[in-house]
Amino acid sequence: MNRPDEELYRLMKKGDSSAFAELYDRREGGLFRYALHMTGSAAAAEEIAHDVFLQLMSATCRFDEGRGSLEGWMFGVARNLVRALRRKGPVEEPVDQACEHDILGELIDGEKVRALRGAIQELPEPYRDAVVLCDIEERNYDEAARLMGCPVGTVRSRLHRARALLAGKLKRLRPAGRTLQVVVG
Amino acid sequence: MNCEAASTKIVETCRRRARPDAATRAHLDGCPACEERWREQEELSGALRVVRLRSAGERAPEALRGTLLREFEARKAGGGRQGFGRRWLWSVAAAAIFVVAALVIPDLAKKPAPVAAEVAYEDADPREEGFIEVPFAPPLAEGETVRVVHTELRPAELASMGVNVDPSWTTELPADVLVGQDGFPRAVRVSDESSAESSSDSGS
Repeated sequence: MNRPDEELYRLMKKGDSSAFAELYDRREGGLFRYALHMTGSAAAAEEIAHDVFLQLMSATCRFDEGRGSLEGWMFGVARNLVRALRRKGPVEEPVDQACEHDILGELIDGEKVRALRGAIQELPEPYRDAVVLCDIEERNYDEAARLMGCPVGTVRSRLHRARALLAGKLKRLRPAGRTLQVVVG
Repeated sequence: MNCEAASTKIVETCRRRARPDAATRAHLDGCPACEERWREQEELSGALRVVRLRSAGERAPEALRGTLLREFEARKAGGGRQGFGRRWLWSVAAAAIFVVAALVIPDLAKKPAPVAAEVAYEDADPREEGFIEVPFAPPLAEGETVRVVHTELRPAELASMGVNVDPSWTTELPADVLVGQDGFPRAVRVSDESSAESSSDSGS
């Protein structure tokens, strides 16, 4: 049975490197993908994932079990790092450069996926957060609310608005009279 | 079923990639706008699914794991100088920085912090109370409440929120901002017109 994050955290604070490694293996993927979709850059996502774990092992780490889950805290740190990065200006490497040679992806209407990723990047941060967590990472509303630090109703309303904005952007990209179809096996 | 209820149903049904229930189907059949919304949301769900599938296996490079584990070991070997313990040193440093900042920046303690009051504007029209709608702000969701945040804003900030700013205004002005539960400002008013006028007078 998996040990809870918080137990691993307590162990790593005592110097248990296997606990740190377990925590890393468990949470790195989700954090990396979250940062990837929030920034649109694999390099930025790697930097953010790196910094989250550095903060975790830092003596000044402010995680407090009484105030929420460790996962929520880690996503909170990642969110702040994304915000700080985007304040500096546009992130240089578009996410699709990493997928340039993804033949399957190109077959599956790569143009629209690229457009959608661009549209997600242009969403206001709270809306982007909701789309990334709920519709890409497939978190349910309760989990997303915990990670975003807001009520479930707020997550739902942000997601609905975000989807309306994204649908509008995709619609503008669609040539008149044409319906884009996405077919995935 | 009205369009508002249908709109919520459409999003949630498309997210599950399910078929509309009978009530929603009946509404869609009689409402071209919602039928169009359904098609858009269905298409969006498909595209998001592709994004999800393409990124499902994405992870940071394996090298990052090694880098962090080495960093962890180094901190441990360093006797906790960087990573474990000695929190008191940071507390002392933080306190020292705060004291110096309070001495060097005299306005730091004077500037009032924004104060928020929870207000539900279900019946009242904020425009009747002197609020100006922030351009391009998303509409409030049904049942969403707003907070009035009392703060001070620079003329440039007021201008960006749609307030007609007198060019002679030079200082920050007390303002009330209506903020939705999603954190976005919806409306703003200069809360003390006399301040605005005196600021305007002093500037001219």
